[in-house]
Amino acid sequence: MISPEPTESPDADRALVEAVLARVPRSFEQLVSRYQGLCWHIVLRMVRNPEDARDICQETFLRVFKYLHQYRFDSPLKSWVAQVAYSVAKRHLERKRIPIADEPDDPESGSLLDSVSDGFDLEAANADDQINRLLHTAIDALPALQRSLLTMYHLDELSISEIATITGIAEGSVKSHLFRSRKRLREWLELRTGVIS
Amino acid sequence: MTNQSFDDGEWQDQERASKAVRDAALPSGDEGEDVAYRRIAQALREPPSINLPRDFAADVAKLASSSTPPFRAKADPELRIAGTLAGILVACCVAAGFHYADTLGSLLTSPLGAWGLSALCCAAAAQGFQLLTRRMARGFEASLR
Repeated sequence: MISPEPTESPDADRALVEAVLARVPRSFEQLVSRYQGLCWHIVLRMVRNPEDARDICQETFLRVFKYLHQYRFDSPLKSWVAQVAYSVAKRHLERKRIPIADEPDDPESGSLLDSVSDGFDLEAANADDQINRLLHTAIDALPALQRSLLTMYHLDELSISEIATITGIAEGSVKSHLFRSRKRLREWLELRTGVIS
Repeated sequence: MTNQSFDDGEWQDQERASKAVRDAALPSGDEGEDVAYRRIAQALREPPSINLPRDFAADVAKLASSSTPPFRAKADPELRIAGTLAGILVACCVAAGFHYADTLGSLLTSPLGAWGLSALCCAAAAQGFQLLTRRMARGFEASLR
């Protein structure tokens, strides 16, 4: 019998996968419930459009269902689902010809100032919630790859090695992307609000 | 533009801020603590509101169970057609070989007949090999998704 608790331990994942493969009623529904938040975070941060994100999440779980028999438990189920979500979202962006990352040597790529609207009251920016709102706008202005890497690392608490497996990017590059994205956000924040550290 | 090359000290600042936010630690007030990175880490940990329908999981599960069994990947229609065509080709090759052997047996010993039969066998083998590699490639690709 499957535990009703939405745990993510290896044993719980194994029991859940085996239940789905054995076609235990509602087991796949439970798997979707357990990982739909993770899927949503990754997909929405990549594609930004909620309607597209819903369709991509649905496609993600249909793929998870179709290929679950190939899952070998050599990585956490969470990472495997994230890998499918990332892959489906990436293909969606490629189909729409939306670049997912900056060119590393592109001198224009570092400027968030060009991407984020100027309609912001600098005088009022000291309030925490407004700085927070500013930051979210800046995060949204980052390229899709950086947004999704930051989300996986900070929000979903995946390790750099897990993120490397999910995205197919080398660990060193993941680390470098994280570093550069956070540095860009910091520079942008300082430019907009003054030195706050 | 500022230099975006990797700086290990600054990486440590970022990680320290991230850990402090993850552990919900209060700001230490240390000179070394980077307030900006702490704000960034806080913003990054805020989940976007999940805008999925309430019955999303049930609907997806229903859709999934009505389509493909989880334990067996459904055969691709394109692959099925390719398999059928390759089978027909192989059968034709075998029939042609028997026909040659039966009615034009003497030709088989001639260089032209032997060459023709070899060519047919090679074509059949190539088709079979192509089908096999395509099937393996699709299986491998599917396992990555």
